[in-house]
Amino acid sequence: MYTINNIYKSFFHRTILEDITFKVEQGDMIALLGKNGIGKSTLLRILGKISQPDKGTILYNDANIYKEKAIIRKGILYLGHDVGLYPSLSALDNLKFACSIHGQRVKDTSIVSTLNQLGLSNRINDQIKIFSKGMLQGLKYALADLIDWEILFFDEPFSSLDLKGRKTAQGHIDKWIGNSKTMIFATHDPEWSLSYCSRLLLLDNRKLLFDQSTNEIDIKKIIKILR
Amino acid sequence: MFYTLVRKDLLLELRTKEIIIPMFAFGLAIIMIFSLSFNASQEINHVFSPGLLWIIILFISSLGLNRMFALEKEFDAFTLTLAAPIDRGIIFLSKAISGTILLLIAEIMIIPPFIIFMNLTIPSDWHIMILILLIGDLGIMAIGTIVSGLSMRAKLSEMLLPILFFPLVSPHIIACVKATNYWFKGLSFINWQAWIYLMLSFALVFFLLGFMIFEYITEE
Repeated sequence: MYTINNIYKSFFHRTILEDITFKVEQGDMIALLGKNGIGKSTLLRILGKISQPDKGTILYNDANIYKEKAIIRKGILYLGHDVGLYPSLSALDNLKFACSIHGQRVKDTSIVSTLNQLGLSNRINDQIKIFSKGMLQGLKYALADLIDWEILFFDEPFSSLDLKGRKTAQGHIDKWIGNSKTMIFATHDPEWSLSYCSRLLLLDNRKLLFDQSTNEIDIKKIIKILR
Repeated sequence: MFYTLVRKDLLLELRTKEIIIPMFAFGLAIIMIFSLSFNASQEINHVFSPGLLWIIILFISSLGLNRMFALEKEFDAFTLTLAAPIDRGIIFLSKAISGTILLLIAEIMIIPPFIIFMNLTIPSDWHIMILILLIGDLGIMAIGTIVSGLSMRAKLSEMLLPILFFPLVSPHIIACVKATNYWFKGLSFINWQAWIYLMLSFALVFFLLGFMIFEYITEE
């Protein structure tokens, strides 16, 4: 479904990623782990075509996302570490715009119902610049619920969420797992990764240190590397 | 998709009013400075006003471009558009066209005080001036959008924009000033249409260039 071949990326002559190669199959739920500044977000941005690799290819359903027309990327949803929505627009306007640029017409009632599940329906017409960080994170889940994606790249899925928010977010992720969706999460939580994800990718020292099924991994080994 | 992107830019301006109002206020301030400092006769004002008008338009367009792209940087909102399955060329076109619309609105607000304070008499065929403004704005915004896209990820983007923008846009501005000057003098269109074609060529070349290279401009 998604083939990543020999990706290299550097910023200001400093190599961040070196020879990253892996494949993503339909239904994979992958956790991308690594220390701060190791290049997890950069890799997700490359996969989402926000950032361009210096070398290497990325194929989505056998089409090169950096060479082919943009329409072949339909079905890819990227949710970055930052909010990625317009602070001066309302939640409703932002979600309508986001759905529409992903080629989907969504009724206002669907947006209200999705926001209702996240406890945000009473703030639908407020500019999102007054939202708390947890509420903004909730909007990302609303977006992922409204857009019919095939593969999701999500940077820090539980960032800024309180316990209730985390439970709601986990409910969404469980629903996506139930629907055999394909997902890659960049996270700092090895316990959660081993409990919920099917595969684990560990970035260390610019390279992909390992790519294994979570059934085969010893958590102590992961924690030792992450320290 | 193009319409959706333009609509979003206009909606952002409607909600924030962070582009047109500062453009208008800045333009008005320059008009006042010009008007009060020159204190010249109507004849002299007639000679200088085409150049002064396009200097004002250049300054306010630079301000507008800065704000337009600053709104995209807040909350890293531009990634939403970049990650969507939209050709980057379409993103460029939408930005340049919405910028042109906003600049035209600002000009509609600025030109009446410019005429009043500079004590000008406007020729009766004013619809030609609308054509000059439209083509001029399209060229300015095509060049400005390319430069803003280039500088938006730079640390000193606010400084980088005018440094790159003014030299690049100056041949187009000179053509705009020449066309406005000849219109102002009441010369027949046939005598100075070459300047309009030059402006059109500039706008077209930079629209095509932007459409083709915006993919590379916006990459990290």
